[in-house]
Amino acid sequence: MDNVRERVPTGIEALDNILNGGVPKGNTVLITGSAGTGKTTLSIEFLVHGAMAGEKGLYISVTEASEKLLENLINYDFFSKEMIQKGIIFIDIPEIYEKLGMNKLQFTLDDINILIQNIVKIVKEFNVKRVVIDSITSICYRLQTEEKIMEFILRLSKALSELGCTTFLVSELLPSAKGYSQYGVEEAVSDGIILLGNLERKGDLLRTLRVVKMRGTSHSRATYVLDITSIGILLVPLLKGGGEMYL
Amino acid sequence: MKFVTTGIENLDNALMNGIPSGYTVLLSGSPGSGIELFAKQFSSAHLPEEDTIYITTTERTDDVINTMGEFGWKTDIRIINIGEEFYRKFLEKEIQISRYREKGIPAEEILRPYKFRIEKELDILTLLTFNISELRPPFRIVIDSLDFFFGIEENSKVLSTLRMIKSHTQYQRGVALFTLVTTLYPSIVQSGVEEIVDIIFTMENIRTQTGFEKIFTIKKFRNHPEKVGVFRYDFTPKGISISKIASMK
Repeated sequence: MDNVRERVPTGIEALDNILNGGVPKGNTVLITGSAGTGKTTLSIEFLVHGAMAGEKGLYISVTEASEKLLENLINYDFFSKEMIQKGIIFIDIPEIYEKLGMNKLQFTLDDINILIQNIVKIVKEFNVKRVVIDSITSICYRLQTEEKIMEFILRLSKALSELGCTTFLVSELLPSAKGYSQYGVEEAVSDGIILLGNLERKGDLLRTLRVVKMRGTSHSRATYVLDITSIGILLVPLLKGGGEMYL
Repeated sequence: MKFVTTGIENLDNALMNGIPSGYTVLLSGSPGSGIELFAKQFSSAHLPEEDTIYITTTERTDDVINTMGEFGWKTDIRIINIGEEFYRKFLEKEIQISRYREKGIPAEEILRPYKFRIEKELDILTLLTFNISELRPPFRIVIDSLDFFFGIEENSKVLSTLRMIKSHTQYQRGVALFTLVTTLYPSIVQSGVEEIVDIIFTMENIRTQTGFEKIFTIKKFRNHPEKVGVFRYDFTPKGISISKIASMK
């Protein structure tokens, strides 16, 4: 165990074990994978466990209306929807875009600054400790250039880290993507990468998880099988042999 | 009813009876030339049976009525204030956006749904077309001014709305007058509007060595090139008057 940095337990026991106690506090972690690999579920569970421990969560929804998301959310045995609504703030970013007049397809540097300021303001005012942005890829789409994406992620994660916030950035990966993110920049500037994938084995499609990178802690880089259950996400080591990995 | 009066006797004479029913007129002029005043005089010159609407985009409704009162013109017209409508729906939103961008969204506003959304979808051109489509013949439409619409909407959208208004006017045998400030637009807009309308008037306040010379022209009259001409105009306590330029031709 390295105790140099304070840990934020994800609440997913096996993942906390892989990370030697949890995500180092203040880290910005890319949760990356293709559709249906469990990115949103993992991120919500991270917020739910935070809320249970008294840490306010902020879920910034970019692509899906948070109301719809709440409806479809699996019913955890250990946490009710009412408690989720109390401990986690759900914000639809299109609402914020509208309020800030950001209706152009491509954001300016000024837009980026103002967007960061407003996210930081929410975090401060509600004393948020865990943030999820789902997805960062959709924001990157409106930033367009690598410079702007880098600027946005670096400045946002720095500001949130200074406030003691641990952040998950959900990244959508197309099967054609090289590396761990759509634009390549996201993975370079984040403190950690958790890769979710699909694995076909003996006719079954299994979900997999691997911690590729995590600053501030040693960690296993093994691949685990991820199971979504009513008691939360379960991870078991992937037994070697057979099967083909898909991103 | 085959012709309607412009409200200016000499102009009616020059047009050889006024404006034919079903015609759409463009009045363009430089700022300060008096096109707004012409628009008011024209709207108040309607016959009792003419359903008349005056669509203003820049003035307060009271100011329109007061100005008409000062010249002793009839004020029994309907005034539709699109400018105020626009202010309520769009500018208020713009002001709030600039406040939010400068100071951040207040905490109590963050979780509240965006209040301007429904209004935003209300298209100002649709509002214009709707008001006009409600008119029953005979009618008289005045739009002061087109500048406003070109300022907030795509040129092609405005032009297609004008085409619609023109068709409605033509088919229902009404008359329509649009004002437009010259020199503000790319020539494609100017010529786009000029192509749609049947009659074009221009008003120019030209500076001379001794003062101003006010020139009124009938620049276009569909199928009647003989009615085109240049005149002098002036402001009197009863409104705009027009006289022939003796020595020209």
